[in-house]
Amino acid sequence: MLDLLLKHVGAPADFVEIRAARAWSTHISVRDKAIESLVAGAREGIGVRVLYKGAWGFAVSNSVSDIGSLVDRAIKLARASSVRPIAAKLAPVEPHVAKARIKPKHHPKDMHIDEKARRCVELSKRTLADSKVHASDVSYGDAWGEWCYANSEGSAIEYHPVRSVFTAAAFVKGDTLMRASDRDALLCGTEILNKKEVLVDRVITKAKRLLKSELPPKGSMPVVVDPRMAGVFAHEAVGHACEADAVLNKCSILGNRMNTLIGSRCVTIVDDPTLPRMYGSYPFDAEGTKAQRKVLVDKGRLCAFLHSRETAAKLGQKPTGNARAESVLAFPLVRMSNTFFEAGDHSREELFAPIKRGVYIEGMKGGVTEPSTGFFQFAAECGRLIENGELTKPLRDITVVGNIVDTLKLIEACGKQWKAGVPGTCGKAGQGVPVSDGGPHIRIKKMLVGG
Amino acid sequence: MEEILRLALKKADAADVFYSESDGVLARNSLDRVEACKSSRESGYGLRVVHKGRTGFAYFTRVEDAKRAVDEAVRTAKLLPKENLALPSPSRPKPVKSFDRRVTKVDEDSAVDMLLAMVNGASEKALPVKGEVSAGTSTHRIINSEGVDLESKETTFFAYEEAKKGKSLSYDEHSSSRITSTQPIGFKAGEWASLGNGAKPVAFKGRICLSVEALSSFFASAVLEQFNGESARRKKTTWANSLNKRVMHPRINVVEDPHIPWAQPTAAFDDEGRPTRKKSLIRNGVLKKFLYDSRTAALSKAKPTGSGFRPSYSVAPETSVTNIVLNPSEKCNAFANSGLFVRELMGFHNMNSVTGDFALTITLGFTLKNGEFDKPVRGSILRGNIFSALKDNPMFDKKALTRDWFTSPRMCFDAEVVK
Repeated sequence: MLDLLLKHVGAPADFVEIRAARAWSTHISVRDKAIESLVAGAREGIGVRVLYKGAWGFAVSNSVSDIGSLVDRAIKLARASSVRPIAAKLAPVEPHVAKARIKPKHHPKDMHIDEKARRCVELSKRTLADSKVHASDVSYGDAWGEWCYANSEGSAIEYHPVRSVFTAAAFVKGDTLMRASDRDALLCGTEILNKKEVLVDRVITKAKRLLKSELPPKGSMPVVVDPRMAGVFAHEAVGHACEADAVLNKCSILGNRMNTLIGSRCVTIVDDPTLPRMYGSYPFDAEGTKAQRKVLVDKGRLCAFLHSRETAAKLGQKPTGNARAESVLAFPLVRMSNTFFEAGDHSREELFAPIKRGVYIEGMKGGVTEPSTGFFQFAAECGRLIENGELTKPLRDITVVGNIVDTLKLIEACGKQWKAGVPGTCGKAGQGVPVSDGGPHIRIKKMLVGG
Repeated sequence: MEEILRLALKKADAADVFYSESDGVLARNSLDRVEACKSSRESGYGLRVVHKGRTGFAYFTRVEDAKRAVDEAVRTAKLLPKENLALPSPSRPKPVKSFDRRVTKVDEDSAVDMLLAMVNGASEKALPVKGEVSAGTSTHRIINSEGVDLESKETTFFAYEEAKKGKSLSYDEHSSSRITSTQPIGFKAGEWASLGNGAKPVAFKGRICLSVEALSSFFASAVLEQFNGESARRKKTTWANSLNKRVMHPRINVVEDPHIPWAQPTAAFDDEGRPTRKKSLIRNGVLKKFLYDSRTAALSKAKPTGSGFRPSYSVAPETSVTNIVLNPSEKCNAFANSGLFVRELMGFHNMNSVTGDFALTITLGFTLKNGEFDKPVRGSILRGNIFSALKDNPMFDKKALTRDWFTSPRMCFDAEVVK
């Protein structure tokens, strides 16, 4: 496929890049004791992006054989954009000629779909075996294939990714109906299905605990967040505001704070797509730039934004390999990869001890942030009340709200132990890309808890 | 497609073949500049087979892969439990208005013109930040072994603009199958951003007036799932045992109407080839109906409701709603008294869709004084329970507004806002 792309990158434009992919996937969904759906499919796609007089044109199709007509179409689209162009330029990067491959322990194509389905049914039955659980959902998905990139500057890249995802959810009923879930997702093969009993049992325990949980107290109070919520904080509150397209659109509260202290000295936040097996990892971004580790916040000081080649050129900085696209049919956008807090030096006991009354937040349900104002809102499935340094009543549906800069400055301590967060899909401008996060336990002097 | 169906019937007892094809153009802006133009083309087939009472599914994009897909669908069917799914018989669905010839004439140059008109509209009151105008055409065809052969052609037109004034960011959008003037969309986005400039968090307890945008998000996040017959059968929803019981206030009526002219989800037939029809979901606060596609109807021993839709050819039909109309029997003036008007909320994907509990951040609201906007509000948390809010004593404005798939007056209810 790469040879076909290379034949067309010489089209008459200032810059031409072509991405094409072929992917195979399986998705299995089990409801209670039976398989609900089982889909195995193959698809392909191609996207041609050209830059002409500072204007972009992008033509896509789900048939690679359309390549010739797409190049002409993309040039025509770029001409239409040049009426009032964005005056795009690309920061220089080294052209790469490379091949990369994820090597799973057990490739998804080597396990029969029957066997994958059987494992999922077993795990769903295990969930239902608990007398409190009256419904369970288990799903498994894998995808593998070939991704190719070529551009008019000489880059020619071939990448063979393999991804797998496993999720489990349990519904329990007491006075009210409660749902708990968990997920694992990695750059790996069917080995993701190994030892999933642990995850399933954790979901059951969490669901039953939710039945006994209360809504949290409301108002401003000290908070300790677990590594999963710390990861959401790093991603949602800091990572999005570090995306250079938001900075250029005057939509990031961090836009004019480069090299200033935006957090306390114990705050160090990193974006790193080079970590082995992590769900948000990749070897090259959607513009063919090599992936690299970036320290975004170093001991409280903002020191880097995340860039595509275009945003880097506009801000006079270097590309960071963060241009990502949901598929070859989508525009590359500035996106995160694996974004996390670095560990600190406090023991778990030291984090809780000074708190007379506060909230411990466990796990994550989701988060949303407005980079322009710095407002964020995170929701956790569960947690506990902290009273005199001890964890007491179980809590559910905890929402915390705050402002990025205020909150980063209120971080008092980070724990010694680092853990990965919940991998997932980050949405932006209608596109979802795989990401991951993580961090240590973190104590925040005060946060607005909504419940 | 007939050939694919014939291939399928060699190995299966019944089958349907769904084909979808879409073509579109999009222009988007960054600040007041054209960021890019894009064109896209996608087509593919979804194949469903019924083999000894079990249903299998496969999708493909190239006709030459049809044989492999038939084998795959039959093989997966063997792994699935017996469902005895019944495919629909031929019918003559009532035609709907969902094709605007003007949309098919939108090319990259006219998309850019419409985008710039929207940007100029936003610039009148605020700074345009980002937005897009897109226009497209899609064709769907479904054939099955019972003799169904239906084809529909729809257009889609979408315009969205975000604008900023000071620290205030807001948006406006339009989504339908009919073309519309884009300048007012940009202007409205700029106006909301401008009105929200200088917003601060407030603490408040009392009457909240929800915009139709915010109410539609509550429906999308928690309420619509309550009508899903399969979720009810599996006791996964709060209203699972509430058929013919009161779940909302007696003044509330909710109808699903798939035939509203020019609305985006409007469809004469569902993606299984069954005619759609208007359905009363809530009458005088009482839950009257659950929705089913062919498969979930078979599982629940219920009748399919023409609700089997597919987000793409690569997905088997799933129960889904089209247009929702909330029509209260009693109305008031939502802005008559003091209170808090909430236009935009953030964090819907964090709300508890099972219990209905929510704690959402107000990203644009206004305190109300003598029926007028008084001060802009941002950053407070609105907390409550949406099922209780709809059941206890909600009041509704006199005027109904339509946002995409949702038509309703603004809704007022008592709640608490924390800062």
